[in-house]
Amino acid sequence: MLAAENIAVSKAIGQCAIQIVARPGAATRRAHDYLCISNGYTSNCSLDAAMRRLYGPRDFTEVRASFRTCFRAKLMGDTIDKDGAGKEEPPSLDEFSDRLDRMRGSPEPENPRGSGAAWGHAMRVSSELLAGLFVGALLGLGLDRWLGTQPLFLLAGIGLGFAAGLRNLMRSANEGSGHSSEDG
Amino acid sequence: MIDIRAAGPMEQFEIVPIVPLSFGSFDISFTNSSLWMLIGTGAIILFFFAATRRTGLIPGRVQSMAEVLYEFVSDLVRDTIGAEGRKFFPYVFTLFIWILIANIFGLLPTIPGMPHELHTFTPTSHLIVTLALAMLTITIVIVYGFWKNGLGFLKLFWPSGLPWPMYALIPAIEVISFLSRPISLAVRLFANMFAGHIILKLFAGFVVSLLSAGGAVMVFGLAPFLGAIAVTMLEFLVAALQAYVFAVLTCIYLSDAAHAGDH
Repeated sequence: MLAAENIAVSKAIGQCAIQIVARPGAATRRAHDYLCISNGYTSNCSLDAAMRRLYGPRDFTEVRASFRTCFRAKLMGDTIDKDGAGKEEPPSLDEFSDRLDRMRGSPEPENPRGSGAAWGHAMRVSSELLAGLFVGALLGLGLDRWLGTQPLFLLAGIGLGFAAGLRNLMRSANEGSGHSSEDG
Repeated sequence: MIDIRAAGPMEQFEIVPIVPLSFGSFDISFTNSSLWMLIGTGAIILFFFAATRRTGLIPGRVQSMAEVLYEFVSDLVRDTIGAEGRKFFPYVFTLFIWILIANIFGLLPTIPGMPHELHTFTPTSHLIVTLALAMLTITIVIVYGFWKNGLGFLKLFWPSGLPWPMYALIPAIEVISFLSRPISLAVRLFANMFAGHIILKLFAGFVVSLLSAGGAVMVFGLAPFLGAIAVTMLEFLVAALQAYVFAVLTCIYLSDAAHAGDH
């Protein structure tokens, strides 16, 4: 069922695969991305196609399978048969796909942004508290001006603003453990 | 002896009109700030034009850079907002790239001998610019929140499952917390850029004044010179980081708007 696609993919991937073999370290990750998206996007593999990988259906395994078959066919000089399955499994290709898997690591990286996210987090914490306090005091001051109750709402506003600042802090601390942090 | 003199550290933030314009009583002059926003925007457009002009299966250098940026932001949007974040991707991406370029272009050295209008300027070092960006984000959050959840969006201020006496205080705190978001978003970016540039110019100013003192004192100019180099490198980090933080928080707030009715 993948045969027609495979032929189209194989043309594009032939180059790609050779690239991987030539420079395994640098090109593997990049090339893999393209393999994942090249299912049906062989001619125009532009930025839009990357979208497909990120948001589209998760057809990793299928594409990978088709890639392997194509790659084999390419190297063996075979034509792709009807069911798109190569019969032989030369050890070098297994070794290659093992290496590919090893380099790719887990399919879904746990935290792709690592220390950058931590830095960003630290930057945020400092201003969250102050912003809450500032807004609370400002609201209190505004209400006082409006109602003519001079120190009353300002004091309440500062208190509530401080609480809101702490709430901001807690919220941003919770965000480390996933985006559904609103239950805190 | 060449004529070296240091400009004040605040001079870099001065708004200089280039083409004076007014709309009614409003001053809408084309200023150096507008110019640098325009330069940044133009550079972004050129960059992505160059990156997507000839796309290949095996990306070239420019295409790789564009794709790294693209994937970075799109991972961020997907991880933070989830699948429905896709429609916000263009906004978050634009915001991220624009702030990043505005921050980084502000660190470019001014070409010596340029008139003041053309001195390097950081648009994001002005509170009004960052506040406008933050207000845009919050407006989108509010509009989308009500559009998506209807009045359920107000659950954001009325968390469920609290003991009843808490409802006297919590909604007020949540409202203040929500109102503090655009403030903290705007002030954080502005303050980081503002403070960083002041420190940078102070160090550079020390170098200039020590050098102009002449004689053996000139040796002491080395210390602030090294300091200025270090601060410049730090500022590049801060420039990228602040753009990132702005984008992350935009995503988090949009995620709140998208999921406000869920709990």
